[in-house]
Order: sequence, then structure tokens, then C-alpha cells
Amino acid sequence: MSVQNCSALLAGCINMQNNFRNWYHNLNLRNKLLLTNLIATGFAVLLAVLSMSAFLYFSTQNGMVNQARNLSKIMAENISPAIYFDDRKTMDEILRGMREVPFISSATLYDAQGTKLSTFQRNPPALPHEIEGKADSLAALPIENSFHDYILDHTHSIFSGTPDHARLGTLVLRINLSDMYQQLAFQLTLLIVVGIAGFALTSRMLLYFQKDISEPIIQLTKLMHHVSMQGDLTAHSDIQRTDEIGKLALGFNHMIFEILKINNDLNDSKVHFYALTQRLNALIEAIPDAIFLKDGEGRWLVANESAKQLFQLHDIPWQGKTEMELADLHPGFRAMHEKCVEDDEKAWYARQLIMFEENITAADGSVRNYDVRKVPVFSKEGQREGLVIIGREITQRKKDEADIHRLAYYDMLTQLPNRRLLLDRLMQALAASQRSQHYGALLFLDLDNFKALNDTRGHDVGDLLLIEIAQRLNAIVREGDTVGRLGGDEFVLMLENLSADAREAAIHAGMVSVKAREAIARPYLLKGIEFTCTTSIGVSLFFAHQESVDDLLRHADLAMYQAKKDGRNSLRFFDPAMQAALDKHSALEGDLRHALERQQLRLYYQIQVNSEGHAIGAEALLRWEHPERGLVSPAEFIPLAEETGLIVPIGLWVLQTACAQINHWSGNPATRDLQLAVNVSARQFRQADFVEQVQQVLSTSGINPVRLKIELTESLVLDDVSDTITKMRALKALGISFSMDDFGTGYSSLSYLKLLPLDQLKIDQSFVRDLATDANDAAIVQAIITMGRTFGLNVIAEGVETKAQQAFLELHGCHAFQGYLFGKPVPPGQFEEIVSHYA
Amino acid sequence: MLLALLASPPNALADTASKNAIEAAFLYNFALFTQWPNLAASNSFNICVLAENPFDVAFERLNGKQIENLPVRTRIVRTPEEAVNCHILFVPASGHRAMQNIANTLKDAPILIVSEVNDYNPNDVMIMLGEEGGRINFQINHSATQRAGLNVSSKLLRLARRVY
Repeated sequence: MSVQNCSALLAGCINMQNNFRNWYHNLNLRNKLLLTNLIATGFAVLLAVLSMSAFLYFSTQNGMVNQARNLSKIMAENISPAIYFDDRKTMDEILRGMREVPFISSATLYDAQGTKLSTFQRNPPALPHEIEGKADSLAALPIENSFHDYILDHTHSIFSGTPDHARLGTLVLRINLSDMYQQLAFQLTLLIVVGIAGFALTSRMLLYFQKDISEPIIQLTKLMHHVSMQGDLTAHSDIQRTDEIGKLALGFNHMIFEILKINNDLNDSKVHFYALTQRLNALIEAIPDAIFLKDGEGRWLVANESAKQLFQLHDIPWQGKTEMELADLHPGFRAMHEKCVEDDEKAWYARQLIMFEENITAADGSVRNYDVRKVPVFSKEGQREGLVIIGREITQRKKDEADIHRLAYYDMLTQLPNRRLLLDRLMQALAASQRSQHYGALLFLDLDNFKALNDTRGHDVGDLLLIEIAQRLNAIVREGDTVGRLGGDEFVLMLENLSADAREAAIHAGMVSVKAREAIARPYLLKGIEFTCTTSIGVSLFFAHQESVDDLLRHADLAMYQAKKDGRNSLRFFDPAMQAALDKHSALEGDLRHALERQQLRLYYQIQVNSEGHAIGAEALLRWEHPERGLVSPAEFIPLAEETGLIVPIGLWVLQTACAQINHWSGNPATRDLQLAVNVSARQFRQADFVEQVQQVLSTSGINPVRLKIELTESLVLDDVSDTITKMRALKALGISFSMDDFGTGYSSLSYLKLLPLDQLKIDQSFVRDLATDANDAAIVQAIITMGRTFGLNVIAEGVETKAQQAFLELHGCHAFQGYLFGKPVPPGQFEEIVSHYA
Repeated sequence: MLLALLASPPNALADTASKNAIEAAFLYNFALFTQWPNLAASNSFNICVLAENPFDVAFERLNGKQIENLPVRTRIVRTPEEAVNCHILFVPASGHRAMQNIANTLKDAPILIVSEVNDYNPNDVMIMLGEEGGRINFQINHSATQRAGLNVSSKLLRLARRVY
């Protein structure tokens, strides 16, 4: 047999065993018990029968053998004398005595030589085997049992009673076993019958006892099946016993009872839950807010009536849909659905309630404001489980809020901020001033004769005037300044971020006041009637929190009353110093207006030299020779000229004077090659006809335009780059060159620098001044020089006052200089003398 | 050897010699089945033959055998008086004349008197050997043995042709 077969057989055996085990496992309880009992009982009975049979067999045989042995002994004892005396008759008699022993079929006596002396043979001869001629073998055996089929020979040696114990002969008893077998067969039959009867009886009894166990269990099983299948919780077991089965039944009944109780509770809960759900649903439906519930995947589960109305959902199968699906179903609300997905994600991400306001365009096209709340719900494991969305319409509230705000903070007539808002802004302005360290100003305006207008023309006309004034005031202030109305004919202007310098701030405030006064003073056409109106203005400067808001208002008010006392249509500062500054400023402005016609302006010239020490040009610098105040600093009057616009005629004068000077220099060999740089202010440059003006001046003077150089500031250029480039190109075409003044002080953009047709960069004196001490300045200067070289521009440094500065600049590639080291700005006569030193 | 003697030839009286041999064997065998009251005092087990002449070598062969740990000694006695120390006294047929005398002399002495059959009074002997069909048999005078204090085994009694 091959190994495969062997293993297959083994597997088969295991399989069979498993099959049997499965089969046995699946037997029902009754059959299982029955089978077990039958096997056990049958085995016991079989064992008993077998052991009994074996016992009977061996004991019977043993008995026979023992009997034969005893008989042999007795016979040997009895027969030995007969052998002594060779008494055959007695021998025969004694052997014949075996007649009475039924199982002895024959007895034979042999003498010591093995010769048969006597024999007894039961009739009929029981068996075919005769013991003949075996004397020798028999003689060799003292006592022996030899078995044949149905016979057993018992051989017994007979010894003499004499001391030598000589052997007298041998007695052989043949035992017939057939009787014994018969008897055994009978006994066995009896045993089997008794065994079967016992088996049957035992099985019957076991069956009875088993029934006592299995029946109730089967009954309980059926009952349980019934309960579980039918849900009949009224069922119960009738088994009443005290053993485990009884306890099982009792336990079962208790369990059913408990289930019944739980079931009843559950049913109660269900009813309660249903009612609760109904109430909640009704509640949710009735809530005017739009309510949605979504599941963890963002599918719509619940939408209440308000929600359905809002999104026109009545004809849309919205349930179980995601926002993106709804966007397709509901194209009118696509944007809303898409935004909703985004907001949902925010809520999921926040893992808590989020609130925001949203504008929703309703079905009727109206935009409504909603206060939206989204609450994400997570499972214990942190998975998204649901999302609650509540949208409360707050359109009216928003409107009301806006109205309230307007009513609270604005003047209804003029729509200007009212006192409250003004105070609020003033507070903020003080804080801002604290931060910026700039002065601000509060202007108090009060109309002159407004009462008279009201009385003569009526309030409606007065109101129209106030509205008109509000519009005019709004037009003159910068963005960020506030125009407010305190009530009646009182207006307030709040100016912020004027200047870090109090005097400048005062001048600026004064200028705005003048503008305001002029704006108000323009004639009005009210209901077809022309009307003029003047105003008195009180000004109070503020800086940080030096004064309280109330004080500020009071001061401005006081100043305004002062102005009224001074004869209306005037302006007063609360601070006399400020008033003085303003007065001086006004006086200066007045003087400046006459400076040109009174020929008080002069041009001074400062020399520019190269590294060889030759004069290469000059910068024309404006000076004002005031009859009372002497020489006025350009820093003082140039801003004034720019503010007042006087810079335009002054600028033109400068240009004309400079060109005349060039013309004058052209006759002198020492000065004819000099290039004269002229500063042009922004306001001047921005004039639409600036290029024509220059052209005019050039042609009038008849000079070589190459000798003229215009200096522009960075701020001017960057203010309007395209206009600057256009004009520069036009002027460049005339032959004029350009220099970038104060280079490095502004936020120069390299890209513009590339676009501009410049010839020169002028390093600001502020960098040159600290060249030796400030590494940063040195670096900037180096950078400017490098930049100039990169763009192909020549570089000139102004403010050069020492040889060291010059040396440094030269070392780094700057070869043109201007400064006190070479010469101060001087009148033309002196200039020519200086030039002669740099020939 | 006795058994060899008994066995070959078997209990068949072929001649006088063999008859004597059988009788000698018989005497010895009788001793085996009989108890003597005085045996302990003896130095030997004496088997005597009443005869004028040396009787037969068959008897002498018994010498050297043992009865009850005593060596067997055979001797010829001529008178009953000589037989006082004997344990077994064999009286062949030739000694029948002295039988009456023997009986009287040895009356109730613990001596087993064995005789060959003759026409004398059976009461005088204790065991009488006879012959039938070529085989030797014997009769036992049980009352005589009892009187003499000899205890004859029932096995021997059973083998006897006649017990009286």
C-alpha cells in the first residue's frame, strides 16, 4: 500500500470520525441520550456475558482438572497396593470406579515400564482418539494435562510409599469436555438471554429516566422556539420540579416575564417616543427659523416648513440628497448650495457650533439676511454623524439696526454724523493722534444770520440751506476727515493727521477753515432766490490726550464765539500762539503774493565741480529778500507757495531768470560751458502746458537747451509716472537734461528708474553728511553710485563739506560734487568770482 | 530391585525360583502396609524364614532394603523360639508341621506370621499366601493381627482374597 493510499485512508478515518462527531453533535437530545445509554449498556452487558463465559469456561475446566487430579491422587493411593501385589482385578475394580464420574471417558493404568496394566472405557467410546502406544511419552511426564479437541488427558504418576519413592506406574484419566462445552453452551445461551433481558430492562429504565430529563428540555426548547418565532410572551413552562431542570424552567419563566416587562416598557417607550417625535416634528415645523438636519455625508434628512419655503423645496425630492445633487436639481439655488458645502466643512473642521451671517436670495428675488448656525454632531469614535443647521432671518433686524444706527449717529436732515458719532470719532482721533504723534484740529462752524433766514424764508428754506452747506463741506475735506452737524446751524470739521508740528498743523487747519468759509460764502439758489451766507469758525488743535473731548469742543466753541465777536465771517484759534502763527502765516502769504511784482525774489547759484576741480555747472536756488524780515528760508516760503499755488508763477520766473543767466554766461568763456540746474515743483510740472512754457522760455532767451538741466524729486515722478515720462521725453527732445534730486530718500522703484529718461542721479546731502560715521549711509551711497553706473547715469553728490567726503565719493566712482567745500549758493556776481577759482 | 523383580516376570509363577522371588517381594510389600508397635526399639527390620536349610537367594535380596528407616535383615530360623525377634516370620509349606507350635509359642507376639497355604488351621497364621490361575494371592487373619498389636493397612485388607 502506497503512502498516498495510507494517508488517504487516514484522512478518510479522520473524516469519518469528524462526520460521526458532527452527526452526533446534531442529534437531538433524546436520541443522543438514547444512543449513549444503549452503547454504554450494551457494552456493559457484552462485557458481563463475555467475562461470565470466560469465567464459566475456565472454572468448569479447572474444576474438571482439579477433580481429575484429586481422583488421580485417590486412585493412585488406592491402586498402588494393587500394583505392589500385581492385583489386576483390584486395578480393574478401582478403575471401574470412574464409572461414577461422568466426565471421565476413560482411565488407564500403566506400569513403570509403560505397559498397560488396566483400563476403564466408558461405553460407548466417547471419542475417536485412543491413547495407545504412548507409554513412553506418558512415562516421561509426571503429571500432565494434554488437550485435544474435546478431550483432556490427565496423567498422574504413581510412586511407591517406600523411602526410594520408586515410580510404580502412570494413571491417565481422559476427561471428556463435550459435556462441559454443552453445559457451557447452555450457560452461555442463558447468559445471553439474561443479558439481552437485562439490556432491554436497563434500556427501558434509562429511557424512562432519560425521558425525565430530555422531555422537559425538549419541551422547553419548543417553548423557546415558539416564543422566539411567534413573539408570544404569554407562554410559560408548566414544569414543576426542584432539580436543575425545574430551575431551568423556572428561570425560563422568569426570563420570559422579564422580557415581557422590558417589552412592555419598550412599548411604552415607543408610544412615548412616537408622541415625543410627533411633538418635536410639529415644533420644528412650526419654528419660523429655517431648520435643516443632515447626516454625516451631508445628505439632507430634515427640512422644516420655513426651510422648504425659503428654498422652494416643495416640488423637489430633496430628501437624502447632498448639496451638490441639490445644486443640479435646483439650479436657481446652485450658488447657495455650493456655498453651503463650504460652510459645512468649516463647521466640521471647527468641531463646534459656528455662527455667521449670510445673504440669501429668496425665490422672489429679494435678498434676505440670515443668521446661520451650524452644529456638527460627531459619534463617539469622532466620525461625522450629523449636522444641524438653523437659519434665522434677520433682514428686518438688520434694517432696524441700520436705521437705529443712522438715527443714533447721523443727523437726519443732512445725513452728517451727529454729536454722538462725532464725539466717538473724536475719541478715536485722539487715540490715533497718540499713535501717529500728529496734530489734528477741531473746527467749529456757526452760520452768521441763519436765524434771520429761518425767520424770513421759513424753516424749509433753512433746511435746504443746511443740506447744501453739508454737501459743500463734504466736498472740501480730505478723505478721513469728518464733517458733522451738532444741531441748528452748528457744524464741526474734524481734521486728522495734519502735522507733527503744531505750527504747521495750525496753518493747515487755518487753510481748511478758509476753504470752508469760502465754500459757504458762495451764493446759494434756494427756491429760486439767491442767498449768501457767512460763517464764523473756531479752531482748536488736539494732540493725543492732552485735552478731553469735552474740553476740545468747549475750546472750539469758545474760539468760534471769539470769531463772532470779532465781526463774523472770521476765524479764531482757541490757542493765541496758534492764532499768532496763523496770522503770521497769513501775512507771509500776503507778502509772497507781492514778492514777484515787488521783485523781492532772487536766484542764487551754487557751484558744481568735477574731480579735476573744474567747474562743470551750478544749481539755481530761490531766495526771498523780505523788506522787513530779511532773507526768508526757502523751507518756509516754498511750501507756502505750493499751498497757495503761487509756486506756478514763481516757478516760471525761476525758469526765465535761469535762462537769462545762462544767456549771460554764454558770453564769458569761464561760464559758457556751465550747465545750470533748476528745481521744478510738482505743481509746476503737472501743469498741462509745462512743456510749452519751457519751450517758450527757451526760445525767448535763445539759449542752448543743453545748458539747462531740470531737477525733479522722486515723489513728483512717482505721483504720476506716465505723465512724467511723457513730459520728460518731450523736454528731452528739446535738448534739456534731467537730474533726479534727493535720490535715495523716497521709495524709488528701479523699474521706473529704467523707464525715465534721466541723465543724472543726485545723492541727497543727508547721506553725504554722515558718510564717515554711518556705515548704512556709506552703503547707500555706494549702492546709488553703482546703480547710476548700471543705468548709464552720471552721479553727483550734494552737501559735500569735507575733503574726506569727497575722497570717499571719488573712491567709489562719484566724480561730481556740490557743497560748501566748493562754494555756498551766492548771487550771480559772486558766483562768477567763485567760478574763476575753478577754471 | 524389587520392582524389576516384580515386573519381570510379572506376577506369574513360572517356576519355583520366580515364585520365591514373588513371595519375597510380597513379604516386603506386607511390611510396607503394616505397623509394628515395637519397631522403634529395634535396630533392624528382621524378616525370618522358618526353614531347615538356607531357603532361597530371593529372600536374601531383601537385605539392604529399608522399612521405616530400619535396614532389612533376613535370617533362617529353625525353631519358633528363634523367631522372637523377628518382625515377619515366613512359614513356607515345608514348615507346616511346626505351625501349631509356632502359634502357641509366638501367641500374640507382634510378629506378622505369613505362611504358604496348607491344610492347617488358618487361625494360626496371619497372612496366608495362596495361588490361583498362576498368580499369588493372600488371605488376612485380621483378628489375629489385631491381637498381636499389628496394624494392617486397610489397603492391604482390600487386596486380600479373604479377611477373617
